[in-house]
Amino acid sequence: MNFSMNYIATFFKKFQQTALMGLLLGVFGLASCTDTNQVVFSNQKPVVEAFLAPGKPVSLKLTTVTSYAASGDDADSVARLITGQTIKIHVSNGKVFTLKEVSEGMYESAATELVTFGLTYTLDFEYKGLPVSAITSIPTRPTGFALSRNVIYRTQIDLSSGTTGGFRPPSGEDRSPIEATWNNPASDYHFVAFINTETNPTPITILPAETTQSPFARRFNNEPTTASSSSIMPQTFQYFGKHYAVLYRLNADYAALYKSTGTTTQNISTPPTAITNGLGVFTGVNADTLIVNVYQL
Amino acid sequence: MKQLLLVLLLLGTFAGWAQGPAEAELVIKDEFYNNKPLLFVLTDLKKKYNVKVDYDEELVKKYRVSYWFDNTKFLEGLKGVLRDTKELTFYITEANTVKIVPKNSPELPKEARKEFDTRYRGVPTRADFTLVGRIVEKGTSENMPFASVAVLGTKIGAQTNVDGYFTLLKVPSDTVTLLVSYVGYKNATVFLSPKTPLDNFIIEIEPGEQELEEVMVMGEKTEVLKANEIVGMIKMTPKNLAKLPNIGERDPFRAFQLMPGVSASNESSSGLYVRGGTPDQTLVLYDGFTVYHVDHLFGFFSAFNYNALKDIQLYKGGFDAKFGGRISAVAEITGKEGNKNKINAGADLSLLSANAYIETPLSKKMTLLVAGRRSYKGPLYEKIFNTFTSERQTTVAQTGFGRPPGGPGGRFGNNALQNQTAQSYFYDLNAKLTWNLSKKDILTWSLYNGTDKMDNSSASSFNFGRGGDLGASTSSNDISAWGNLGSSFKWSRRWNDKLYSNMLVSYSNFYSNRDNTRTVVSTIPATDTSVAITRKQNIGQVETNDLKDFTAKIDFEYKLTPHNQLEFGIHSTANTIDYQYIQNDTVNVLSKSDRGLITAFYLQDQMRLFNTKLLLKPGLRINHFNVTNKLYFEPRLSATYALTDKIKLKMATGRYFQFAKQINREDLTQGNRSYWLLANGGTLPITQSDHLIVGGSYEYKQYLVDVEFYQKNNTGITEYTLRFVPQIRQGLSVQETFFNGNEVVRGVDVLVQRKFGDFNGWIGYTLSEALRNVSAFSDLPYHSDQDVRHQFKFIGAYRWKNIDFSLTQIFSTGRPYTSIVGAYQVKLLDGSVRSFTMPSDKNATRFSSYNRLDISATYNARWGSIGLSVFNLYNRKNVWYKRFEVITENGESVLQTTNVNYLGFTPNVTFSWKLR
Repeated sequence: MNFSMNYIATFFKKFQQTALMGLLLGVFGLASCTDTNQVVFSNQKPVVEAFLAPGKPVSLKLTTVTSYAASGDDADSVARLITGQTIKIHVSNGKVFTLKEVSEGMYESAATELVTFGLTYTLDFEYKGLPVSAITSIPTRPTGFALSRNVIYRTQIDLSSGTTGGFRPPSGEDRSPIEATWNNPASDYHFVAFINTETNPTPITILPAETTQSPFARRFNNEPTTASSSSIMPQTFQYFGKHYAVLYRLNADYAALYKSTGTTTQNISTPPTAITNGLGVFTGVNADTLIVNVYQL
Repeated sequence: MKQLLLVLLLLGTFAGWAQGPAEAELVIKDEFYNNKPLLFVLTDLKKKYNVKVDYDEELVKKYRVSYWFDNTKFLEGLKGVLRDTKELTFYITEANTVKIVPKNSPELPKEARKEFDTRYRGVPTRADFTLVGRIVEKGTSENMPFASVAVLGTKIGAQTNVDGYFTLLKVPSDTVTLLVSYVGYKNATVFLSPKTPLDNFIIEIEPGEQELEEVMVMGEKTEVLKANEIVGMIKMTPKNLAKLPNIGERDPFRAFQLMPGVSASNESSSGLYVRGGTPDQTLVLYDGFTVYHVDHLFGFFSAFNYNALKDIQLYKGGFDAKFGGRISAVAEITGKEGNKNKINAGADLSLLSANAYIETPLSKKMTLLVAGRRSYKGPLYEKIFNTFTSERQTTVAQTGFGRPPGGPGGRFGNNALQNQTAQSYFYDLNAKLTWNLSKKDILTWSLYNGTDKMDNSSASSFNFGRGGDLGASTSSNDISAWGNLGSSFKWSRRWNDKLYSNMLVSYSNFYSNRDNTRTVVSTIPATDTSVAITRKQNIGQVETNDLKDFTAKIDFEYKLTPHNQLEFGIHSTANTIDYQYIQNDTVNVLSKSDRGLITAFYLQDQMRLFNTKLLLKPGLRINHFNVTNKLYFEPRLSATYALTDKIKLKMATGRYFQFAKQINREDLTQGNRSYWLLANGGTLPITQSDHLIVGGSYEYKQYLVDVEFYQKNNTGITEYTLRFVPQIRQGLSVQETFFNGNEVVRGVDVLVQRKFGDFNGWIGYTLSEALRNVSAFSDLPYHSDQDVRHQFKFIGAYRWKNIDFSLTQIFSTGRPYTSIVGAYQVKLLDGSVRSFTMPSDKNATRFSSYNRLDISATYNARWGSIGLSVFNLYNRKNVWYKRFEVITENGESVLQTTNVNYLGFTPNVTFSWKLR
């Protein structure tokens, strides 16, 4: 018994030494380097911009990412067009479109290579040693697109005398909204855009000569919705004349572009993209068009 | 002999081998002295009660006193009488008699005694017996859990259980001396005698630092925190929290963050980030029920009101088989039962909140404690609230729903009205009812309810035209509400000297709701051809999480021999967890409804071997999880070996599983995104962690040095992200938002503590690394969000007269984060251009280091205290997170980075009042 106790005591003394050694080794182990993520100064992903519409050739734009890195970087602080790429589109019917660079950074398929509804299109090219790919299908054409009316009367507002602040809307104006409706049994994404088609349109609001505000956009639209209607206030129109009302039917990856992206380190999100080794959008769209006229009262 | 000497030293007494004098037991029933000369009072007492008091007549002649003996012990009363003189005090001489002297008398011994030596000097009458008793707080008679009781001069010792009971087997004789110690309380020395009851022997212990007007220095001082006893364990008594600097509320969880191994650099969470773990990996038990979320006010405060707490123990890893369901740590909190003798009440008022409690005996056997607090919109609340919300408000304004992108702004209204009805608060309520049914049975019912509500809602309306008959009104909701409701009912029974059982049924509910929506109501007035149309549209997100936990437990403790105790039990928890994330009324982004039942059995043997030098605790916990219908085995082992009196070696190892996990993502622009889900064994795996802890401690006089090395290998950890989600229409599948991987945490915690003395405190240092490997994020491993490389803490407390000063200084390596390295633009179909940012690799960069100095001073008085404290004294701007903005000018984009900081220089005042 006594022997065993001694033995155990010795064991513990030895154990103590081993433990100390172990602890020391542990410290060195911690201090040693581990291979972890490093800061990436410039990113090598191309930005793709392509909307595939039925009956049209594939058109694609390639740009670089704007870099924010402070130093030691080979990327520019402005976005550059990417030239000299060989881009292929594999179609689900077995055909392969080869895109030609039609202008700097702009690539297009041949006039005979048109997008067809019902097929899927796969983007394929190599950029800085990495394969860039994306796949999309073309949605069906929207049906049942109708507007509650296609004529609007607006009074011209003249602010050129320099009036600032609010203004009273003139009386007698048309103020009930235009209802746009369409069929949407499958809850697909849609949105309506209004585009002024006049070559030299007359603005509804004449801005002061020394305004800081930029001229009004000739197009506007709502965000993509899965509903089957959208209402547009007549006040949203900024120009007189003929407008196209375009109803787009979209894939979800396009709608995702409208999701607000995080701007803090707590919610940084990878930009919504369906492109592998790339950024931006490669998606099929379909559309139907109606006409709206805005007349001066 | 050595032990005997120790006893003598402790008592500071020598010779006088007489049995305690009669005065020791004397209780004076009713004696009222109103403004009487002290000499008269003393002679009157001598005459009536035959007490022996020694004094100088000339000295006492000049004082007049008022005192009412009302069932008062003689010495207690004498203290009260002399208190009135302000200049006199007394001590017990070596001959065991009372001597009255001036406070500054040179005659007064340094280690003067204030109690009679009541040791029994006769022959022992009983030997080798079992002593069963209870440790209670003096004054309130409240049971003290986890206090230690030792028989001096032997290896026999025990710890009280959660109800304050202890059992000492094979006590050698009835003339031994017991030493009772409990963190925050004075050590008590108790002499047994043939009169001592062997069953239900009650020992009173006294809180430290309470004798405010006495200048005598007691040999024993009390600590704020106690480390080193068990591997990875820290113990704290909430009473001593008042000594540490605080912002608004004395917070036990914030105090734990000052210990090595618990991260102190997350100001926005009072949760415990223990050794590279996240707060959800820490099991928080409050009177036996699990609390799932511990944050108040953006995490600035924990949900626990220190007025309602009696004892907190934190196990930083390698914990016992009794605990399961979490992989990182255990915080076991015991609520106060309340004063068993007299009604008592107290209140605190700080710049942040009001806090009040009442404790009272309801009958001879029943006590009740109720404590509640509520924040008010004082300057401090506003400051914290603004720090934590200003960012969100601006971002919300920038984002602006429904405004056509690229088009002109939506400010088309005249006559725009806006109403902001922001209202925010938190409150909590604790209640505990204790019923000592018999000497063997105790029933307790405990309740906790806490709620946080933050409302930034606003309403606005736009009217057009003369009659204002046309237009739209919008109301936006921006409400976050979360809270807990938990209750437990416990029956403890001491079956016999050896067997003790605890049965518990509990319910715990955590909910978190976030409503960030805008309701647009547009009205089109009736015309000649149409009727009026009112359209209502909801835009935005609603997120709800609701967790319910029903638990039944039965735990047994069985003492086999004085040095061997078996612990075993069965735990069963049924969880229902619902989570829903809805966008724009219709799109159900993520909807989960989890149900699960976890049944566990555990067995642990606690034994002392090799002349009690080695404490060994092998254990096994077996879990059954009905979702996977599998068994999960958790072997556990911990050991402490006392190499010498001063040096202890310790180790622990074990396997731990976690079935319910919290997906915690701080997200201010989108609202609070922390919610609980139940693992399913597939896409959401059950987290497993293997711990190994090796360490040692060295005690020298009032110093303690404690070092622990640890490694944790975790598998099945889950990260939540919306990063790789292109499909928002169909709703998210679990696979799209949860990514799983492995993690290795390695580190060392060092603690150097000066435990006692006017100046005491500690230095803590942590060196650690938490590396995650989630292939979806990156090919290489990355440092997890809660990785702490170096963290240094200095905590010092100094007592000068009635004032406690304290200081805490923290230095910490900055946390890792993902930055933005670039941006790009995409032209949309309508012709507008949208900008996107591109993040760096996961957690590839770190914030600048975190450091902070807090100081406080607390004036203690009989009626309570006044505390002044300053948080972040030198106004260090510690980075909470970074905000990125892309500014485009002349086609060139520049990234503007803004640091959003934690709280700056923040002073606070706390008034505390107590009835007794």
